[in-house]
Amino acid sequence: MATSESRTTVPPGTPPRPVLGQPEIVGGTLLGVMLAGSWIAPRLEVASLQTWSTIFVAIVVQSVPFLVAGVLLSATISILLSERVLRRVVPRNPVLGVPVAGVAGVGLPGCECAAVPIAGSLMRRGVAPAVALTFLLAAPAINPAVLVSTAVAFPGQHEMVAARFAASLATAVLVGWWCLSRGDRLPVRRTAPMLSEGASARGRFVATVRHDFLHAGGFLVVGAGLAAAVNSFVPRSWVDTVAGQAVLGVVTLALFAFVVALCSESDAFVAASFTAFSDTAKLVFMVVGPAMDVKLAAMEAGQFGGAFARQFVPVVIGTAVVAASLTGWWLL
Amino acid sequence: MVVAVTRPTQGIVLAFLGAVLLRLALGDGYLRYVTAWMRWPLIASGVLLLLLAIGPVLAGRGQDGRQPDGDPHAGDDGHGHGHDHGAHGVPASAWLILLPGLVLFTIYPPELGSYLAERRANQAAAAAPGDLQPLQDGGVVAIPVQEFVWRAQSGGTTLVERDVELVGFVTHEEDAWFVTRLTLGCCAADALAFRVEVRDADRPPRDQWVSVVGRYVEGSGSSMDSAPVMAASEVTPVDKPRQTYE
Repeated sequence: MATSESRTTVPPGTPPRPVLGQPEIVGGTLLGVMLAGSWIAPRLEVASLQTWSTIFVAIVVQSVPFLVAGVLLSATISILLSERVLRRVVPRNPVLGVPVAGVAGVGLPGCECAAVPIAGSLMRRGVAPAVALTFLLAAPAINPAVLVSTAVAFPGQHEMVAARFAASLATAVLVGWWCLSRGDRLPVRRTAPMLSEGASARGRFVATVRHDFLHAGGFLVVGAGLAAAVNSFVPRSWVDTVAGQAVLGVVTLALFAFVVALCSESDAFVAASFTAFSDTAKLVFMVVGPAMDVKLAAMEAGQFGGAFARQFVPVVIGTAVVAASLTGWWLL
Repeated sequence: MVVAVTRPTQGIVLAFLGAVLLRLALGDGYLRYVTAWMRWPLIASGVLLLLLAIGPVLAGRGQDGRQPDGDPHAGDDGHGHGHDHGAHGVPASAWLILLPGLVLFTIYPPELGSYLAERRANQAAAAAPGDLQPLQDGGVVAIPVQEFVWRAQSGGTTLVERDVELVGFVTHEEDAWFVTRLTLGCCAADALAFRVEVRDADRPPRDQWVSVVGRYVEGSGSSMDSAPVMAASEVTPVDKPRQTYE
């Protein structure tokens, strides 16, 4: 990439000049950093910084393939899915469509990151935002991969799997109905319009994939950086101090689930390691995490707009905590 | 205001991330961050990102790269993009896609070690899955650190009077030291620490990889919040294994 520009070592931030366009500057800077890396790295050998960077890169490396799969599927929905198929799959009545979308979440074994562009593309195709958002909440929370990993992490506690399924589905459907009741007062921004007529379907497909990836990728990086910071700098002993208190324990694990932003396929193992906490608090951790965390909040703000995220994020967290607490009290 | 990402630069952003993923997945680098099964998804998405980069990079040749050319945002939908949208409808946040690669080349993030393991030391290990079979017959039996912890938790009867070899890195706590391994569920963000306290041997420096041969101290580690103890007969420094997570 951009090797021909290697002679231009211009510091970042310099405004582009006509002779030297932005791609040359960026390419040259990247090459410069790569060449200087072996000189810089030993000067940054600090255990805390290294731990942050490992977890940061890990979250990005783990998420990008799922995001790529998500944008491929979302471009398929945007470009290739015919009106007829779409109409048949999504019920016309959104009140009914919300629970259908919730149950449909079982069929998408992917990370949260994949679900955000998919929900965006469903809205693009005219699916009611409430229905698309229900799918967004349900897909990462109740798919088979998540339920199996929960069963493995809690051996002999099958009621935990059932409780997780019930509480997550309830959260998705309740938030969906809330969105429906808000109607036009919910400021959902719909990105990526259709291309100008005349472009081939293949061209539009590639352009949509590229656009959606560039759109979501930056927000994924922001969320990964914040989550990695909490993960490596906040000692677990702070979290454990409140384990004995029922209400404070639930609130703490809900907040912790939001800030550490784990993949839903593996968060059950971390939840199981909170042995000092009540089972209900562990359930709250597993219900809040896939529905809303710092990484998802950043991506949703990017996809649907900041005004939307300010309403949606607190409602999802509140609903998830209440649904999981009630389910825990009933089943566990 | 942040400079907008022009169309040819969008290609560079995509190509850089794609190349970084391929570089990690084609070597052993990715094993520092994620589990082994992620290799093929990483290769596939790396190739795809490189392919996506071709169009914008070619579009930038022979012009200053600022001409809109069949871009999906040539006509806006009127839903009102936010102020953060620069040229061609890509938000300025797309610059951040460069960050993971830059971090990779400037910090060389290593596999997780004693820093994280010691900060998570109070954390109890998850319960053992299912029934544990007796150890195989013979002299010294090598088992994962995680399995040793699980066997101790379920009473330790399968470990009694057996010479066991554990391989892991060294963590410290006050005067004690531990042979330690981390396990991954998905990626390094969900790493869990498993550790066994080693007695009757001098304490090696932090993060030194060691092989410890010894015997389980009966009764230790049976509750979930204390580490099991091993009385060492032999501690040898070893090379770091290819896969450092269990």
